[in-house]
Amino acid sequence: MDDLKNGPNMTRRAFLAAAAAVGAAAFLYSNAPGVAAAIEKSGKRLLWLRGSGCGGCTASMLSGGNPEVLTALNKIKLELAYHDGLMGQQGVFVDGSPAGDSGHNSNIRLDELVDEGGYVLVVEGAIPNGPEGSGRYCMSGATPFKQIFMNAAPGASCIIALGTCASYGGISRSLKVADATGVSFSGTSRMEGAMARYGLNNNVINVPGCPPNPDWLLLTLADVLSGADVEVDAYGRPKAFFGSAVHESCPRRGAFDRALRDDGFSEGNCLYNLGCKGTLAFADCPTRRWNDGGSMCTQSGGPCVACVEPSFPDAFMPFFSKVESRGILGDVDVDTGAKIIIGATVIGAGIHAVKRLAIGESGREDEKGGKR
Amino acid sequence: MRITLDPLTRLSSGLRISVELKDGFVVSAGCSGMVYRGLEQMLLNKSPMDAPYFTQRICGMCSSFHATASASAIESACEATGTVPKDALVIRNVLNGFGWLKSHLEHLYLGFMPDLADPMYRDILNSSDLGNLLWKELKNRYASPGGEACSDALRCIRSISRAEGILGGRSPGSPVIVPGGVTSRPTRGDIYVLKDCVEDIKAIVQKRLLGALSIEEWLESTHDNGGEHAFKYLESLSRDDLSEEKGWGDLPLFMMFCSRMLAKDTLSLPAYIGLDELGGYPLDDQLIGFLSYGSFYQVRDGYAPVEDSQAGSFVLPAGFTPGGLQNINSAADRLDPGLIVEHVYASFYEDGEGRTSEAPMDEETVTVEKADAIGYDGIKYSFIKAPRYGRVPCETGPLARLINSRENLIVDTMRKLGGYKSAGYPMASVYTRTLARMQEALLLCRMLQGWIDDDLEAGDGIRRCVHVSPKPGSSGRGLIEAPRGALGHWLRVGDDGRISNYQVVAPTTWNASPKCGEMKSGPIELALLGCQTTPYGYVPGSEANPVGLYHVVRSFDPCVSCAVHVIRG
Repeated sequence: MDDLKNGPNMTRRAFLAAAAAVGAAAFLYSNAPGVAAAIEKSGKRLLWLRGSGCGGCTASMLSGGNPEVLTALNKIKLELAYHDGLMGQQGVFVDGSPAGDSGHNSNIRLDELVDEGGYVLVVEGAIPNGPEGSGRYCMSGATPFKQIFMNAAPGASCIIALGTCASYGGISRSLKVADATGVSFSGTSRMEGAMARYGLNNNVINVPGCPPNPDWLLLTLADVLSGADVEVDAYGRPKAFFGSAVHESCPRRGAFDRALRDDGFSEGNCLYNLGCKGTLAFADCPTRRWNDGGSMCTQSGGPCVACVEPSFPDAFMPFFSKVESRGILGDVDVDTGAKIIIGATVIGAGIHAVKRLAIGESGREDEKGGKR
Repeated sequence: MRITLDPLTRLSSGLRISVELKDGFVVSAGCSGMVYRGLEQMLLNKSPMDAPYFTQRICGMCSSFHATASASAIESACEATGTVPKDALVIRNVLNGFGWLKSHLEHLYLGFMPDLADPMYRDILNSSDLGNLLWKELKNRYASPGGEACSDALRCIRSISRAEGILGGRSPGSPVIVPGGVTSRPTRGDIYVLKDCVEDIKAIVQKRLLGALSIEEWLESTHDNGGEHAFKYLESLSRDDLSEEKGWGDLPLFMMFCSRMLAKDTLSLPAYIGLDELGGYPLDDQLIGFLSYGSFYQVRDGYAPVEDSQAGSFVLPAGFTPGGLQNINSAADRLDPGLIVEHVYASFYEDGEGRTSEAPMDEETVTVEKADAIGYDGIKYSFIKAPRYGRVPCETGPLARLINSRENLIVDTMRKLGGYKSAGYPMASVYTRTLARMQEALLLCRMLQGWIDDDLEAGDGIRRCVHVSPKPGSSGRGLIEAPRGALGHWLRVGDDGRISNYQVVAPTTWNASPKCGEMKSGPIELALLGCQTTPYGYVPGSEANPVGLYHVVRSFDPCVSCAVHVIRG
């Protein structure tokens, strides 16, 4: 732990900045023993719960990153103690009563882990409260997921909301009757998030994305486990990954600057006219890229849909409509809005202003909720 | 005695299985999907063009398949299926081929096979030397975590994802499959990287599944010529050493030792796991049908909608085969999408005005919005609906596909199993389902290499997308095969140009369906009937760890996030 905090040649701050700047591979290959030692001291385990979602976050973790998540966890000696998609156990009831022991029964395993406490909790998928506040639109082991989450949250030393559903409700929030929320937010509102609703107050870090990049999770985990106070933005996201607009470093930025814009798919230039929301989406996809650094959405011709943003997906649909032609800029004069986006000073404050206007945020939360 | 598996893990979450045992045999079974998201309701009043990006979020494993089915539904609504450029179809094939292979490997090595390393098998297999050898292999390969096969599979999955990312931008959740074609424009450099990835992927799959033989050698004898070559090959392998190096890759090892018919009945070996006795359908398979929609486009401009797919638009044909071994002696029935209906009798939806079943395009279903109505003890017990083909519940997936294409290895294996003495073994079982998935993984390697080596073209001058725009009042459907089976998207555009009806019937909707209005059980429920808690019958203590039941359900590779769907609240 001390090694990590003070490192031989680096300040702690510089160390964490360096960790975020490189891929998980570079970080883990050089720092795994240090993180492993820190975990051994803290006795932490990883408890991974999945609510209402598509399993895409887990699939993404297995699909990229170098190494993929299981090998990475193994490297830092963090035990994946519960994950319903990957564990050996399953829930077994005989005549209504839980059968066997934690070696075979996942429900017993979960109860034991929750009783012990002290784990890092990863939540994937949204938390539905419907219908009628029962949470029965998502059940596991005859228990609403809402209840499972409420049981597990208090014992967590840190909660990581993985993916846009767990962070903000995401796709799952689009169905009103499901009344689904993220862990600490519902859309841009903290008051509506599960933590506030259920009166819980653990530290929550959001790692959004539909799906999230595996590096974002692994590096956030490494930061958390090494005892860091991860710096987050107004929406609870680590600033290190979600600090600048996709548009800033987009592989097609050159085409944008030369005003070469596509009006049909697969033409090869800037995707702005096809509805690209890269100007409103804050993530390091263009520099980090995906699946071992091969490519990213806009590079392969897919307009960015801003899947890391709290108001995804509803605020960014129709996906293929231009930002200024679809009313998300509210009362702003279209010319002004377009100038902000298209103008030379597209980065920094200008982009933030557009973003707030776009998703109906006053920006006040920025001042309060910045650093956690 | 009632055994309930909830959650059944190592699959997409939310599956609950409940069985009643009498004298050690399952006499009734219920299969419940317990996560409801309502993607189709969310799509109402949205732009039809948004559907591929939206629906690919139904499933993180099958995102490219949902995108493809959705794009096809829009192309069919625009009557534009004949105009989608060849180069777009090749890229869709490659992306879907990679996703498909990845799904099979994840299911086999992270989902299904770990059950074969359950300590129960150690206690049973240790009564013979061969059994001890077998147990050693099962444990070293499939134990979760730490099995060699699992780490090989993870390595392969990463390699596949890297390849998917190059063409798809990222995986899962790639944005490149759009109505009218694809968005990506691979460079020559990209194609070289893909070729490299395919070599790497094939090497791992070959080492894992076949051990000593090459994929080409195996397919040439068993797929191109006949399944009997596989039996001869198995018998020629040394049984003093069951390592991959001696030829006992995962496929031969499984094919030999997970069959009672081959290992015990035919060769009198002292060690076997009788998965060929497990998970068949009662009444000689006749209550069931095998359904496939057809998949992978022929390499040419345009494709025909599935009604005409028998005319040859797809590499893997569409078709329907009724249960019963005699039915594989003639060609598969032509698929009639008009026969597809859904029931909500046992599902948590309000029945529409007394109608028991409806075609997907016409459904007007209302979700149960009372908390008390969601439970397990009433008539309704699942969020999954009950699709039927005509009146027949259908199994869908690798086994159904290989049955409908009359694939040699599977068809010959079923004939051998079914013809064994008078009793016979069921044509569909945990054994044939898993064998089909393995054989299909090998076939995919061959197809992928073909598309990438011969058909994928680089360059900016190539057209990879045509403009499509669904007209108000139009409707369409996109029927394709996903790794788990038949996947259909139905779309209707309202007079305002927005989606007025969207419907998804996913593979697991078929396989994990509850009872229909005629009280017919779904395939997983039927396959559980008559099962015991282990492949060796009842073993003391096995009610708390009923490995036999795990095998049956997991052999279908269920995916609940896909399966649950509804339209209109």
